[in-house]
Amino acid sequence: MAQGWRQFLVLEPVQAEEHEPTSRAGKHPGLTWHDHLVMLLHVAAEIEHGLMVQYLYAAYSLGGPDAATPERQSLIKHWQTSLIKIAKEEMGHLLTVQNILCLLGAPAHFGREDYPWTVPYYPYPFRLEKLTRSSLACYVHAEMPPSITAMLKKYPELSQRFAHFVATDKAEIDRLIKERAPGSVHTVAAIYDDIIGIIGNEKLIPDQAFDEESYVYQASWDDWGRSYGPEARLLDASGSSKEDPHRQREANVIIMRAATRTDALAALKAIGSQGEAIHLAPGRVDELSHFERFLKIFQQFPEDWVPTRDIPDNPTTRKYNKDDAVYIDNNHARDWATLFNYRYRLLLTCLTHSFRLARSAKAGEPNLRGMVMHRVFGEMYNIKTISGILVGLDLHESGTDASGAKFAGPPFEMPYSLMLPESESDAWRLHREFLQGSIEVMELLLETAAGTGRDYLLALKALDHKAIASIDAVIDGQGSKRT
Amino acid sequence: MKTTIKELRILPPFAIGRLGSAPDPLDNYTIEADATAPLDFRTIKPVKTLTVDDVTGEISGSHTPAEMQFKQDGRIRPVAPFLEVFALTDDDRLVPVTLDMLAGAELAWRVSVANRKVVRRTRDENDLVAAHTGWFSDHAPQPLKGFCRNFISDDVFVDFGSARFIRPNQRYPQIRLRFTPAKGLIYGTHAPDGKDRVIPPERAIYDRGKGNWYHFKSDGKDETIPPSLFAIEPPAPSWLNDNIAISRGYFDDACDGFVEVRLTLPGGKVLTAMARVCASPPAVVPDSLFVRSLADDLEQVIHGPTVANDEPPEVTQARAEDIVRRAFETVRFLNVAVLNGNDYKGRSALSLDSMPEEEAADTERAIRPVITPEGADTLAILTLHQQVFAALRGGAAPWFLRLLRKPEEVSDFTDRGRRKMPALMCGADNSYLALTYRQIDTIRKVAEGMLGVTAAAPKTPALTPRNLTAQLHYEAAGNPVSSRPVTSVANCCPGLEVDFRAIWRRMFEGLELREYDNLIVNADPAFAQLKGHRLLRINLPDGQPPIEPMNYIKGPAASDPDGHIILTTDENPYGLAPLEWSNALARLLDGFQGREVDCDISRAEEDAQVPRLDGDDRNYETHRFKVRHFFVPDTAVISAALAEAGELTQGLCSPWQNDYRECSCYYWASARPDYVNVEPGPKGLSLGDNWLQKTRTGQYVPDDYVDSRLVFYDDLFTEWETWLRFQVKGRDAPGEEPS
Repeated sequence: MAQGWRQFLVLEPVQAEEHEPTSRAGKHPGLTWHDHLVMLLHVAAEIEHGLMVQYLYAAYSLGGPDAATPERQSLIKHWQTSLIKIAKEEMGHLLTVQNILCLLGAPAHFGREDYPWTVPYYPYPFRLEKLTRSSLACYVHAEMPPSITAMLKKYPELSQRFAHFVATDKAEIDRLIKERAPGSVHTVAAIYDDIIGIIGNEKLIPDQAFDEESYVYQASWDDWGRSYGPEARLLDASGSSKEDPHRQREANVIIMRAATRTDALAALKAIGSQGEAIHLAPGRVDELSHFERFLKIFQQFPEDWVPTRDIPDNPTTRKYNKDDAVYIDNNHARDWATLFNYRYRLLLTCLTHSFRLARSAKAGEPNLRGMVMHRVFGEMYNIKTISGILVGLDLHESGTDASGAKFAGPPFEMPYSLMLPESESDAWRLHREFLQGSIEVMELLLETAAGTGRDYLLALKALDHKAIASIDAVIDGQGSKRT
Repeated sequence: MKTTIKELRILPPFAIGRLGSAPDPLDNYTIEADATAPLDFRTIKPVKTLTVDDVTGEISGSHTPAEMQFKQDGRIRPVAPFLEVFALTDDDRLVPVTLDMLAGAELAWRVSVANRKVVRRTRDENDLVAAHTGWFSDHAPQPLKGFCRNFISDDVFVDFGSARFIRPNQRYPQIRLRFTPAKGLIYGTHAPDGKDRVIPPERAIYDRGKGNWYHFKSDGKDETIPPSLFAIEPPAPSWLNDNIAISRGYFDDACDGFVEVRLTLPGGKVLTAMARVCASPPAVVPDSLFVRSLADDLEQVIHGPTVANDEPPEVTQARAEDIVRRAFETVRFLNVAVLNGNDYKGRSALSLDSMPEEEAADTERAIRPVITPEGADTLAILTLHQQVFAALRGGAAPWFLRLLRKPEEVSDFTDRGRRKMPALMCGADNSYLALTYRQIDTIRKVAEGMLGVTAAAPKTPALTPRNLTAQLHYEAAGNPVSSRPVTSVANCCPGLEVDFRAIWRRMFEGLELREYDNLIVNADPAFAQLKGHRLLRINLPDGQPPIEPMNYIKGPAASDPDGHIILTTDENPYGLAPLEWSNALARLLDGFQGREVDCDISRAEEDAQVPRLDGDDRNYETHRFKVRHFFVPDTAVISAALAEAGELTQGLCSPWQNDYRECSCYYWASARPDYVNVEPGPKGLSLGDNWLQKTRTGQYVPDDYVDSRLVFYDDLFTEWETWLRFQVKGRDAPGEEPS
């Protein structure tokens, strides 16, 4: 998806206050600070979105013939769960960024550019790739606390925990990163430093820029968290915790709403640090940060067997003719990949629509926004399922490609646009179009599909027909003269 | 070679009869999921139905009806199951006993059924209504006449239906008995000074001079849960009227009990076997199954709380898919918005029965919706469940294990706890429903197993002497699926076909526990001093963690959304809730039946739940008890030592029709639907009818217990066969009057 605003990203090295030097953007004179801030939030949203799909792709790549023993199955299941959890947490970050956009009176942004991807701030070039030590090195580095060396000195009790990292892993990670494509790997938190710096500056962003009334429209953990939060602490009558403060707490999908500048800063700090830092606070033993979870996988990652399937980097249904993308030329697999893209598009459309509907939905009773939110989760299940099917399908009509890839993978291709039509009934027609397109692909697939794939298609097709019936009722209810 | 019969069995070991006054029993049918339309309702498929000749008592033939008719001239057709005799042979096979195997032998049957619903409330054994046929060998219908000491005379009785030894013939040589349940009639108190508006004189047979059932009022001790499950003098329900519940003196012709067979071999050797039967309300949603059925609980007893490591993955996968299917079949009939605790069209959720409302009342806290009200709609939640089902069918591993409510979490009333699955429904402990441990472990095993396993096709398990599951699910010729445990919601509060909680009361020899919590209500003389005390912990040997039959009630801290507190009240000062026995004792039954275990029992009589305290505050004594066997050894028949005739139904409503009016926690899709005729509406939300609203409008009438648009108590008592409308494919079945 072409983003015209990228011209305003001025590629100038900026010395960050907390993080290492990066090639981040300075403010273009053609932008106000509010514009610049909104643009940076768009970039942050794209980063979170990009990280999410890369982690999902890595998770779905796990498996293959080497992983057939129960012990290996158990290991890769654990990694897969861990990667998907992190992806869910990135989804929480994405929603929190949308909330800040809402607070600033800016439109929600769920787009991202297809690969190849190079944007200042982006931690490393976007790439859908199977899980390898090399990709893990990127993930570890990107989520690493920038001042880890200093922190380990400050908190000696952590030294033992990270002894192997300091002694061995860090150098290995650096080496692997250097072997990859040119360009350095930044930390994810870098962009949040800049955003926080701007939002925290009342001279750049005045109080009037914050729309307190947007709070009720914003995405809440209640709506989206689906219980992925830490268990509540047992309190005594005075409200003090009765539990061991060192109790292990579960990973938390952070979805924070913001009514004020202070809220916004707290939310951004929370998501900026979820990857790298929470566990480093002395006295807290929360579930490991993204950094530490990736590091753990890195340390467990085998060298004597391959825990992934032979899937390509950057699979595509489009004949890009670009070096980085691998065309899925097996018709059957490509049809599945096309179905995947439809579902991905439906997911993003529902997400976008849910933010728009929030402004017209009546709170406190069932409404269309609530229904669209459920559809987002339904599409997540579809993405999971189709990914599982795709990684078992031949990539090519015969043989492997130059990279050795044998099986297909989920392409996560962005649509040309995520813009919703102005009128609500047309927005619903757009949903219907995608569903109908999806059904057409399914009918094609059903001509040859067998086994679990066939079972799934039959169920999904039935669900889509029901969804279309619901949409027709909505369009009818909106008094549209067109069907 | 002549077959030698070593032992006998009656199959199925538990047969459900269903009440109805139509002259012809319900035809045989089965239900099948359509592989090409996997989200649709199950297809009701009429199958071979046996015709019993009224005069001779033999099977004169069979037919397969073109379509199912659940009612006949406005009257519900009863489900009258057959029970077949099987022989365990000397070559270790389980084979049907046929006429030719009985040369020189004498075969006799005996049936004993009872209704103890009144006894459960009055605690007066003279209120027992019991029928015994005595041994019989002829083929005439044996009337099941339920006599009672507190009836007006020895000549009047409750008609519990009949039992008939089907005469074997050349074409149908198998030995079988048919249990035909009663008509579903309500009986009452003899009233010489006035006429009861519901009970005709011939059924006004209870003598209020002898017994206390007429105008009975509970003393609050050893009540059932829910309390006052009986027809009361208006105004009703009691909780809208200062909890005043004065019995109208009604009782019904539902029952449960035993069928026994006795075979005297030519050499004089006598073999016997038994099975259980019950007479229950009709299954009004024949094409759907509840997410946790009696079969799930019984399978947990047979196989234990975990899935065997060597179970083939495709079998586990099929069971996991079945659980999710039943979940969406259940959700489909719930008005999620109302049962979520949303206000409804401006009316407070407190005026409408739901689990959040129950929870608010029990904990004396403000009502809170479970999920955000904006997302609570039946079609959307149904779709989400169906998406999960589709994903499972597509080979995705279940990712929602952590969202399943663990049985020990049922009293977690924080949002996190209440949002776990299954949501919005009530379990046997009156807290939020949990699946069985075994069901949860099924999902776990699939989640941790290989990806992309295709579910095994449905298969009837091989009937062998040791395959108790196959015996439990045995499909006797001619029996509709609604006669099998898979269609019973049993483990609820209290249940409908049976009150399965009653099974667990005598698991420890010498003690009798209350069906819904750990109070010792009775004890053998050796333990008489323990009556009124509470069982606080069961200590398992072999290093296994102990079992505690209660847990703390957790609720949100008003001062801190990240915190929770223990919800205490004056009546429940420790904030403890009982855990239903079926799950709580699952580990006990898995390896300790017939063994002795140490139980920690409160030192004092305790009216309310108390925690087990150690150290200086130690409040318990340890006693050793032997754990009874759940089944009669080597069979799938629930042991008679656990429940006598009538005890499996004693905790249910009296009359059963009352339950349809008062219990609107809608947790039993197959028997008590809530939301029917559901369609997508113009606002993107579902529209439909309350199953019990008289006139179908497509506008759901919320149940506040007093709305005249709904079927009311006396409507059900007098015209239940009209107002209990069968649902097929989610809509009023053909032939049901639209209004």
